Amino acid sequence: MARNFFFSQATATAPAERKPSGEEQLVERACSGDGEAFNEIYRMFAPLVHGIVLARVPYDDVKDIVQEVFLAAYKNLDGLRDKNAVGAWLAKIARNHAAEYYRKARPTEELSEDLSGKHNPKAEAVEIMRTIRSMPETYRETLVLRLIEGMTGNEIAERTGLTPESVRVNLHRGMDQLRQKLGIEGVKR
Amino acid sequence: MSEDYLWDKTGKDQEIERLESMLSVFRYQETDPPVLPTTTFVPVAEKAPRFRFSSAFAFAGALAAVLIGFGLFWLIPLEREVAVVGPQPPVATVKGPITNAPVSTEQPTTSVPAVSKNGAIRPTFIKQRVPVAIKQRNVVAKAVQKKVRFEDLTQEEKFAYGQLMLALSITSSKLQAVRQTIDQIENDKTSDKPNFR
Repeated sequence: MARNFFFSQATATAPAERKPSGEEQLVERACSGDGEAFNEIYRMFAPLVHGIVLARVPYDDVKDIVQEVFLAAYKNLDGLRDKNAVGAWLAKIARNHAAEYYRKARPTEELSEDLSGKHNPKAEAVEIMRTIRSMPETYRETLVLRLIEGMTGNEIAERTGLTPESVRVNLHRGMDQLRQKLGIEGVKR
Repeated sequence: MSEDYLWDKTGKDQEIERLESMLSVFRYQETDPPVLPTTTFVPVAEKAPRFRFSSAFAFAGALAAVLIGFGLFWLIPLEREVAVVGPQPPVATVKGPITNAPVSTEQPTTSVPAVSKNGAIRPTFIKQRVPVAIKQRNVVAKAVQKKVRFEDLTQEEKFAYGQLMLALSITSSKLQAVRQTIDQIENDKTSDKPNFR
């Protein structure tokens, strides 16, 4: 009986053979010097990195920082421990580069006269963007990925490594706060 | 506000759709991936091996020098026969009974002559134990040094020499007398009292 118990325990806890995911395979190929694999990673995660940087840095400088983030990732690809967590790893690099941007004390984004018109839709977008950037970090990042990059809640959770519950909370609280700041009357829950 | 639309874009929410459309100007537009750094190998012409004074080489050289030094020190014998050029010093002899008379300083007739028959100076070899490595200069200097003749001594030196010889002769004569006494006693014991024990 006891023998059967231990046997059943052992079989229950024995790790099943894990098949490497597509993400993991891409990382392994990129580590071995496959440039096409890295380009594939870029296409997969560029919107994520773009959104994270955009939540912190003026739009004009976002593209450059995104390129810097991927170059830094390529150089340090061997240091990636969990090859299934490329998104979270890239998000971390992106946050660090955005912080580095402000440490270098670059000039801040100034709204030009052309964009300052009230009826200019781009001017309104800049104003909304400014409002989003004034929000807490957890909300603004999630809101940018959802409203600008067009990701769903599940996609945000999957790529950033956050739990879906956290993303859901951040989305709703962030949206409520944005609505208050913009003076939009929303449907009360 | 439709929660479904905010979460997974299902359903409809005009307010969020309007925000999305307004903010779409900031949306990521697909761009080419960054140009990855490539590793370039520049062929370098092979250079001839260049001598380098390494610390290992210096250590080996120092070790070899120490070994050679020790080898020379132990291989060269410590005892050497050093040639002393010149006549033997005069030896005082005591003739007749011991008196306070001045000691004669005649040349000994039985000693090896310092000068050979044809007049050439014969070197006399004296064994000396000298540390070669340290006192070689002194040994050479002593070897070259000539012994002083008795005639060349001053009066005081001659007197001191005579006194020394006298003392030595007195001592030797007294020792001889003691020896004779001991021999006589032993003879008496053996002849007169054979069953002494």
